[in-house]
Amino acid sequence: MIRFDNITYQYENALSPALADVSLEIQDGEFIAIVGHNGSGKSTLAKHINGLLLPSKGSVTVNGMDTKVEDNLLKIRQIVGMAFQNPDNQLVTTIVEEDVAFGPENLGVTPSEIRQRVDEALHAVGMTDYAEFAVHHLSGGQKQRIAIAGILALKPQVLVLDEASAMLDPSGRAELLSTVKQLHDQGMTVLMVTQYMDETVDCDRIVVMKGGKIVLTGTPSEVFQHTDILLQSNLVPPEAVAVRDSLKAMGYPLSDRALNAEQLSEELCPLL
Amino acid sequence: MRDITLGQFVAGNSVIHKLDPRTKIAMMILYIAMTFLVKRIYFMAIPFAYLVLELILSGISLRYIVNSLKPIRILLIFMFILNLFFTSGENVWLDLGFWKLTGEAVLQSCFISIRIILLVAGASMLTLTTSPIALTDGIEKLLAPLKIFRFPAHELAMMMTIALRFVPTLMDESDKIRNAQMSRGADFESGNIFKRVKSMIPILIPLFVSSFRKADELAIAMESRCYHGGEGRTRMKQLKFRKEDLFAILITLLFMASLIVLLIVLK
Repeated sequence: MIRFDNITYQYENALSPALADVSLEIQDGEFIAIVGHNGSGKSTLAKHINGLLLPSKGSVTVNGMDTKVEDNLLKIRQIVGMAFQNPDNQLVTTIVEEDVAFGPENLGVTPSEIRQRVDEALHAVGMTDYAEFAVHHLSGGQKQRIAIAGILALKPQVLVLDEASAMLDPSGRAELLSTVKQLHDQGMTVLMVTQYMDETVDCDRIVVMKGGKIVLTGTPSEVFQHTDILLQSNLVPPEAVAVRDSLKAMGYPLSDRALNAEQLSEELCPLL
Repeated sequence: MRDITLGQFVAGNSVIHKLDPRTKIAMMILYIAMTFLVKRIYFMAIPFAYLVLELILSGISLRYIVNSLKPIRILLIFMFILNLFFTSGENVWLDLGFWKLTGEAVLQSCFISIRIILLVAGASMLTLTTSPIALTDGIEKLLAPLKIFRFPAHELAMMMTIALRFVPTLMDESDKIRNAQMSRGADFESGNIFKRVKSMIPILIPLFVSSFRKADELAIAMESRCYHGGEGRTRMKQLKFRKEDLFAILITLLFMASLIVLLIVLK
């Protein structure tokens, strides 16, 4: 479990805090999306989970361990794996399998077990065939899956994606998203920081941030009822939701559960 | 452009490929020593035979060796001519008054050229048969004893690994920046050499800035993946010194010994 207790964080030379008195609890096995416009503090929040940033006020605990305690950091970073935005800037070595091995090598795992973990991690992201490829020959989506494999090799309980899909093309994004969903189905806690609302539809919970504060949290169907708050936070609701809302305004009896094109068409068909 | 790495590695399954990188580094050092021990041109036959043996065993095509010599052709020609002019001798072949072409000079020129060719070809044999990662691993292990003198062997190897990893990435980046500057009217092709070098500045500065950003992001990613220096770190692929390695070293030493014997006997 991850707990943020009233944390405030201010970057050096910044006029206002990037995070202002934020509290949040993330349960084990949850799939949670943190959404917000540029400068809303969503990435700053994510970087607090594994101690890359330490709160100026308040505290962050992972499974009861405070990130402020230096001795906890290595343990916390084993529990919380983190993938970043630019796929090029998080791969360390030239060859795919060597890169996946980087994490467990840092932990001093025995060579035979590293081999096993690397094979498992590559299998989990569907990249087994690319084990001996050079990373610069891969597409953005593939690189991002390798980055995730590198995290999985550390056997984490929580996967944090800090705008990991932002630099990918639509097919790369779909690749990444289905990998993440699969991992969540296998019991991984997932925290996804994103600007793309259509990626959040299948989450358990959405947290909407604006100006360093949480302005809205709830299940996708709850959050997408508040289109006004989303628009105030400079976020665009998924297209299906926009269509649903205009149809509702025209008098069609549609439920709030319809969040993507399929669900919407299921509800629309009987009406026609 | 994207496939350029430091030295070109040709994947293979030969005896030479399978040797421990440390063995291959040691072999190359001994080989270089051999070429420098030789003082007369016909003794070059020994390091040459050694190189040919290595080439045959590795199954590397001669084409790659020839390619590796291409960048140094200017140097070769320069050295050849320089030695023709500045070696004195008795055996005059041609007398132009201000300069005599002597047999000794021709011999010396050939000797120097052969030595350079053998040196470069030998060094490329190492990079052609050893993957960059194996090479950095080998260097790290060979330098590890120096750690007691606080020599940063692990850090050096990690830097080399990262540098190799980012060569293609930075190549792409410089292409992008070049195109971006050209679309704004930058001119990289005309003018004399000084002008052209100066016109590289608009490429180099953005490249420099972006490298710093990359380094920063990479450091964060490495830290997130529990990197905390070389202490307590293990490797997935262990280097193993096997029978074949011992055998290779012994053969190299045999060549070395026979060369030394020849040098003493035929003084």
